[in-house]
Amino acid sequence: MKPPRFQYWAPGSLAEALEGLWQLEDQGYTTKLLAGGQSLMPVLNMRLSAPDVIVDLNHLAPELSTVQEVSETLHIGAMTRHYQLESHPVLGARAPIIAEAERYIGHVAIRSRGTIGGSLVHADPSAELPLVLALLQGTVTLQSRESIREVSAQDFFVTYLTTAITSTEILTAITLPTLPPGSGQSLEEVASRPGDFAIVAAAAQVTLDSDEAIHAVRLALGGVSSVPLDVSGSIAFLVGEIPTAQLWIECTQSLADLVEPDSDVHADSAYRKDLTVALSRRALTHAWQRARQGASLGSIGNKGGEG
Amino acid sequence: MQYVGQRIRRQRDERILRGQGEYIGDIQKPGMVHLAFVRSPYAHARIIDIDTNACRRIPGVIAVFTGEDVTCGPLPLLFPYPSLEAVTQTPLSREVHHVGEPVAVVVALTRYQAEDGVAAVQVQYDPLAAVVGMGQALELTAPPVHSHRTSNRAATIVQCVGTAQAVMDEAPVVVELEMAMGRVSCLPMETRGLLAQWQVFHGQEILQVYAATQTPHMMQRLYAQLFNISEQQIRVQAPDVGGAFGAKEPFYVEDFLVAWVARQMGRPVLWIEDRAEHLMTAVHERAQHHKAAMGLTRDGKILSVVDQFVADTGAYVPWGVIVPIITSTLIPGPYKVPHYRCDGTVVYTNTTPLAPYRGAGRPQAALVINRLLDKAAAQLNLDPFTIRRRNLIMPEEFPYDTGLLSREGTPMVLDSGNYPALMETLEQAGEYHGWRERQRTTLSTAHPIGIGIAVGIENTGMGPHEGATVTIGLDGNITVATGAASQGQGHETTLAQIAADIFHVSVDQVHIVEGDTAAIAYGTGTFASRTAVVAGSAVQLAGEMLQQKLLRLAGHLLEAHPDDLVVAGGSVSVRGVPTRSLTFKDLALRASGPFPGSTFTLPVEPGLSASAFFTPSGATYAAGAHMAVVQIDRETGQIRVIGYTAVHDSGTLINPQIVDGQLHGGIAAGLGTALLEEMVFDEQGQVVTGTLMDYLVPTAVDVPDLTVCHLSTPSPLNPLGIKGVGESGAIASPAALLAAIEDALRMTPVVESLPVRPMTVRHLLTESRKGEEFA
Repeated sequence: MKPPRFQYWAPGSLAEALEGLWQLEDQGYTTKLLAGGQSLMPVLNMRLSAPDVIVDLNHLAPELSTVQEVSETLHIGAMTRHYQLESHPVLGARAPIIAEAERYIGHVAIRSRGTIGGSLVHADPSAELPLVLALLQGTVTLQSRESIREVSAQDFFVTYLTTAITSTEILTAITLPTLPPGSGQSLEEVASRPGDFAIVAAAAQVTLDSDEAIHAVRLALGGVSSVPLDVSGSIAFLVGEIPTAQLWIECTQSLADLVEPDSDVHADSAYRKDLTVALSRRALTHAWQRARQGASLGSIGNKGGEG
Repeated sequence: MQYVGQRIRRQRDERILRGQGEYIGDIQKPGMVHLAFVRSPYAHARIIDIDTNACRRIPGVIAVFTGEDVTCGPLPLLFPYPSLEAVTQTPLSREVHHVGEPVAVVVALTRYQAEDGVAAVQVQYDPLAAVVGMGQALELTAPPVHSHRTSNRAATIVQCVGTAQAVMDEAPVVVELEMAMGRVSCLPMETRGLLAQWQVFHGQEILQVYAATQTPHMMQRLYAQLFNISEQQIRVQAPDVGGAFGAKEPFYVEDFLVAWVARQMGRPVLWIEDRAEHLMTAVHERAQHHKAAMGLTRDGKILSVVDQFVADTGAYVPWGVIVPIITSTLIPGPYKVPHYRCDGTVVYTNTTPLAPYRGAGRPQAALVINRLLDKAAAQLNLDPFTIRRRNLIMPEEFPYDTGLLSREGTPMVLDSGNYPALMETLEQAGEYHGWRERQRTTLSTAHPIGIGIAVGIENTGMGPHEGATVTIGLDGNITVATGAASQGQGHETTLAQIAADIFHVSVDQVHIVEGDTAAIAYGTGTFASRTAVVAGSAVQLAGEMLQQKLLRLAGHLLEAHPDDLVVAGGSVSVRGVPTRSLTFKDLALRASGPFPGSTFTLPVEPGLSASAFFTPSGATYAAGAHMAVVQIDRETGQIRVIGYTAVHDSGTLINPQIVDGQLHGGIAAGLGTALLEEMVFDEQGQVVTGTLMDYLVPTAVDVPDLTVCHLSTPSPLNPLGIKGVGESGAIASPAALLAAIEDALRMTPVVESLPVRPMTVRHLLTESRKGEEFA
């Protein structure tokens, strides 16, 4: 479990990194970007990847770790680490599902190093942050020496551990919409042990209008497909309904037929379908309750109260 | 103050926690090179050709060895058994019998380069049909696991007391059970590792090995046999060892090959097993499939138990077939089973070999008998405590002759115990009736609570022997050398407590030396919950001998009768005359002899040192009763352990805090066996759970708060009345957890396999169509 030989390069700025990546590509070298290293290092040690050059982005952290709110949009630097995400006051108020997701991610040591950009580029279909990006229809900024482009979650996640990023690009920022008024969010998951990748995760956002009818509802699933799956379309018919606990039970029953999860050593397809139904209902119910409370912050600690 | 019985802190922890431990990976030797193994990707194959040319060109690679270079036959069989047809592993064999078996060795200046070399070795295999499942192994059409054998049967084990089947046929109540127990890894935090070097001293070859091992003296003996040299030429040292749990007990081909390569290279060779290698190649355990029946009277008294089982031993028998033998003898456990029959078949498969892991066949035995009792209790509408109480061996019945024979063919007699008291304490400390009350309102909800209990016994403190040499040094402090080896059990504290009490000194003045064949000539090792019992007793015996010598010497020098002497505070003085006194320092100096050339006139042999061996006459039986409380989420199948109580009787406790720790660890292991851990192979014999993302070991967050209580029924079989405890926590725990799950789901035993995962629960609920009612 030692990595094969590689060259190591730690650029001091984003501009230097982008220039270097362009040059390395030009000269035919294969590269891997090192952010928090929580996925890349095991992959290297198990010799599942053998790049010529490791480009360490950690000196870019000051430049790429800012969190800004600009007109109902959150811009999160790609090198923002999990521990920063879980305790950031702006994110806590404007995208509370991030802090909720972070509670499921790994352990303290992992969260002190791992980054949001690294998690998204690794693109594990059962990971929490890719699920949040899919739920909120966020975008990522992919930058190279020659171009800068905004890519939607749907276009970014291609399949297992594969994204639309090219070898000269760096994911520099994540853009998410802020929580709309009258909304609640929730993320529910089942993992084999606390901190493991989810077997299935469900993330929901419910927006109510002033008479408590559904104005908008979004639902995304992790662990049931090769990418985080936005299934909001399948429950779009709920818009305009006045929700009840029963409504969430009914609207989630059919989700079992919507997904075709793979079986693996942790769970078979049938169990993942069971979880899809149960966790979707729980996430939607919690999101709805939070929307009603109009309190997106304090309610996170109140999990477990079934509707 | 008497130290035995005190909760004092472990001496070694501060050093380890400060990162000052010295493990194999910390040892550096001048000229040391690194070794890595080329391992088979096939479960069964013949090697046609190995091309090492590309490997030899890798920078840093200095040597490559294949089976053509090594002329060593199969490793010696460690534990013969009459019916065992043993196949042991051959170093760099031309036929591989499980994935991960070494086929070549690469030596390089760094581990990185060695792994580069491994990747460059080209091996051409002729794949052969592989046998993976236990069931498949016994089919008539099954391919052979080893090409030279026609059958895949390794051994048959029969235990028989009375006329079990005949009594079963007549029994008014009969319950049946099928139970398949998954395969688990020992998984110590530190993997295996070895550093070997050959040197010449006074013209004689000396092999020095640092090993992460439980059995340094056994390694020494095996090296002597394999290299055909005297054990006096071999020194095996176990430095700090980071856990073992059975994984570091057998002698592996890697152990031979590292030493062999060091001899070829003429320089020190280091091999550190990585986690992938550990999961693939270090021994596994559990893997048994039982079909059992119990006949009872209508009031729940056991009349007869019949069990048939198949046990997997993997490709080889690295520790004989001890595990299934133990299972077969311990199924009756703490209960009176007047008629008993057990037929075990041990099979070879093309998988990682199996050998004892913490518990060593006893958790399987505890599952069979306790699950049968739960099933009978459900059928007879009896409380699980009640049916157990009606069948326990009573305190006045000890020594209790089980009617069985031990592995050596001698009668298997339980020495002592008080099982009803265990149950009594469990019922109180576990708040059984409180939980039953709380359970009532949850059973019809989406989150039902379940309560399960189990009782298990453990034969501990087995032979053949362990010795101790106790010495008072010129600094007045006491050094104790034993043949045991610590992997974190705290011997440096517990054995010191025993010695400190004999000499009435502070425990800080006692230094324990172990894990070194140069410290004491013979030893057995640390496994089978034996060190406190066997090494502890040896320390007591040797300490008492030294005490006599000390008194004889002091009596001579102080001109007093030994009976009139008092030993206290590191001095010996005449009773009532504190001024007539000699310190241990004075006495040690006098005993070491006057100046060179003078005459030794003291009435004792030179040196304040004494050695003794303890050779136990038989096993002493520890016992434990466990109660688990779980809460199930019917929708997701998730199992939360919300209460756990264990009551144990390990005889005299040397250090209750360390015993608590042993039970905590053992219960965590049992929880892993029951709920999380399983080594999975696919049909081709590939390891599916080859990383710690897929092999799920319980972490601190998975282990609930544990209530641990102790009873003490001293053993009559050793001077201090000690019983072993290292494995105890792992024995009754899986049975208690399974019972709790079934109790929550209100299904009479239907859980037929281990581990029970949330998915298992969901599928059970779906099958019974109970899940939907609560959705």
